[in-house]
Amino acid sequence: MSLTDRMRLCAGIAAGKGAAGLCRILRAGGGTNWPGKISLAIYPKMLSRLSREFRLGSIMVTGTNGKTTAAKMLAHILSGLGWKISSNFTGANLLAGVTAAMVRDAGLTGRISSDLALLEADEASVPRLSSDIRPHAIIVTNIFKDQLDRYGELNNTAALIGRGLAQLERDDYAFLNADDPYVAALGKAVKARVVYFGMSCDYEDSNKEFKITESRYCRGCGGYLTYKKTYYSHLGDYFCSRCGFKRPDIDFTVAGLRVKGVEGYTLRLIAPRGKVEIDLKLPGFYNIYNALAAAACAATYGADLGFIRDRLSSSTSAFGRMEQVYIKSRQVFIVLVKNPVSLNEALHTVVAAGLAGYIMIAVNDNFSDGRDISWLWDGGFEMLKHKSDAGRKVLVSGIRAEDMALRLKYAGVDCGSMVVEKDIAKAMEAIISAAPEGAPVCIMCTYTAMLSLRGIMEHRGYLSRYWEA
Amino acid sequence: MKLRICHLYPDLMNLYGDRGNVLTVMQRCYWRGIRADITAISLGKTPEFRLFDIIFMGGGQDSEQHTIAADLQQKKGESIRKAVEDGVTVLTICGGYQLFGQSCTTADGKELPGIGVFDACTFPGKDRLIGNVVVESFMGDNGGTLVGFENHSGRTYLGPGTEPIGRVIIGGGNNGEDNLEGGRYLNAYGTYLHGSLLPKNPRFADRLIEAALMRRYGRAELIPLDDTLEHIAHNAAIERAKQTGK
Repeated sequence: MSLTDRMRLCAGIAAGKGAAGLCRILRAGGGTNWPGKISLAIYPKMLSRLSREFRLGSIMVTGTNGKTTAAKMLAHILSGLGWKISSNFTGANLLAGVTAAMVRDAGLTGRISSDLALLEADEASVPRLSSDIRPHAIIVTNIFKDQLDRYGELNNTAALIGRGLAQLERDDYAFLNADDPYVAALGKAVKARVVYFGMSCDYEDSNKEFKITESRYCRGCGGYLTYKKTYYSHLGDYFCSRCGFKRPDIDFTVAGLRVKGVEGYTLRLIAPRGKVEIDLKLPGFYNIYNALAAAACAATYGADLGFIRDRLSSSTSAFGRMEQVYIKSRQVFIVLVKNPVSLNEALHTVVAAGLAGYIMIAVNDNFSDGRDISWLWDGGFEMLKHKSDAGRKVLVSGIRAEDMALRLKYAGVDCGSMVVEKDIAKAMEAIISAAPEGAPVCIMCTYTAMLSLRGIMEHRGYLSRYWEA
Repeated sequence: MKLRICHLYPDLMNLYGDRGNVLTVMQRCYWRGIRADITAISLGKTPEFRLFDIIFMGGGQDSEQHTIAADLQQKKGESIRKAVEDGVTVLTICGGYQLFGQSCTTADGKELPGIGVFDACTFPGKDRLIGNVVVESFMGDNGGTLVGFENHSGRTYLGPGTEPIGRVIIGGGNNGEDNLEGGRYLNAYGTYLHGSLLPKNPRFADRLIEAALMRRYGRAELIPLDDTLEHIAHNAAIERAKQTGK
């Protein structure tokens, strides 16, 4: 390393840390992005330099939905092994966010004492992040339609992730969701060892009315995929009768499942070296896939199955993912929604758990949310119309509150129970005071709406600051 | 009264929430006591399209355009053209609009034949036109504007046989050059506007229902609906387009 490089490294780290400190002092939010931007501007090689510091290298988690939760579960398991882990769990998963996370954990001379970097990566950032960081493992959760104004189309998203996977070496690992034909199809071109996870239990998609089927066609030949089983959206057990493409053999699977409503699930996990029963205290079927991904990776990194069971059983929800907070004696659930699939799964969970009585939906269309809100029309809001108790209240909020209100109107939700309040702080107070004490309140929000909401809740003393969590 | 609605390729051309258009027409019929039956038609099946009153087709992935272009060429195209000549109402969005033109050249340089409902040709663009769109309608809808969201790389140019549906105020439109948006031939409409289009442009939705009722029953007096929320959303979308648009 040249002297100038070393100086720029130190200057970049100092500036990044300074910026992060300033964010905290000014209470300008978590400061999860722009310290990274400053560091990179001063020293563009920051990420590749700092990522060499980790004794056990890096693991990257990507995919449309579930990256934050899967990464958090995995960190919970691996940290239990006594490993010190650096991560970016606040959803700041673009280049700047990942850099900011590493700068935060680095000493002023660029030394990092963590053993492992566990990073969630935005799909579009995967090629750049993998070439800078050279992770030893990449986990791909799923590929759904999401923010098409940014990524173009699904094939494009798959290609971006494929470019990241292509950089893995022979000794590295790719953990792929076998049930997702888009993800599974990526496995063929990977040099690294591929570990597949997927479901093999009897659970059937009970959400047929609002199915989103973007991947009915074979990635190889364009033929029609036949599904022996569908778990949710296009995840299932499929094959192509034309070219023979089929769901790969699964290494880590859930073979049995008991649904316990808002309490979560009991899973029977089968791994190459044994089986174990896990109490997963997170509602939402998608969380089973997140747990599988985390278990597959942790076991491959040497964690014992019994230990994985204990750690998964004590996993809590990630930032805004069915997270629960208590505000003024109401139990408030915060649910991030960002695309039709996450939205439908969230609606399904919310309705099934009886949380739809007092509901607020905040929709923003900032860059990080996706400028296009057409996806609201792919969401199955019709699920909310059957809920008809007299005290019922629906608040719509955010930059595109009017569009959300219109979507609910056409879903058949009673307009008399609906209030449009664009201001997120006012909407939050209104929905909380509308609910009787002790009643559950559900707030669904897009990414930047959630950040505002968190800021407001923290400012009003309803919760601790998320970057300290 | 009853309308028969056809949703073309709902399993393939479903990328950008265009299902909201179908939903909007269904609901606006339902609120007026008009029965609306919906039939999904995908690859392989060719019904007699003249028997439908309204045909919808949304946007999808570029890669799936090939499959659909081939399927349309087999038998459907002829039947759809006859239906349009017979006055059937059609709304096609984005990829659907392109394939209802004369031809559509994809990004990899392959020319796909269209079914020629619209006198329009589509060529690949260097970049994608993405963003909120405001169009001054040539059809006198909603105080003269249509709002939506575009996301396309194809550039569409109209020939003399098809008139545009409006002039672009904010956004790219058909090709980002001539400031025109959409195409219309008889009761068939094509446009790049997602959003979904019809919920926020209720006059346009009603225009489609009216045309369909006229053809089938010879009369179409639509019961007025309370469109307060629709107009608020329409105006909010214009304001948002002004903030985000070029």
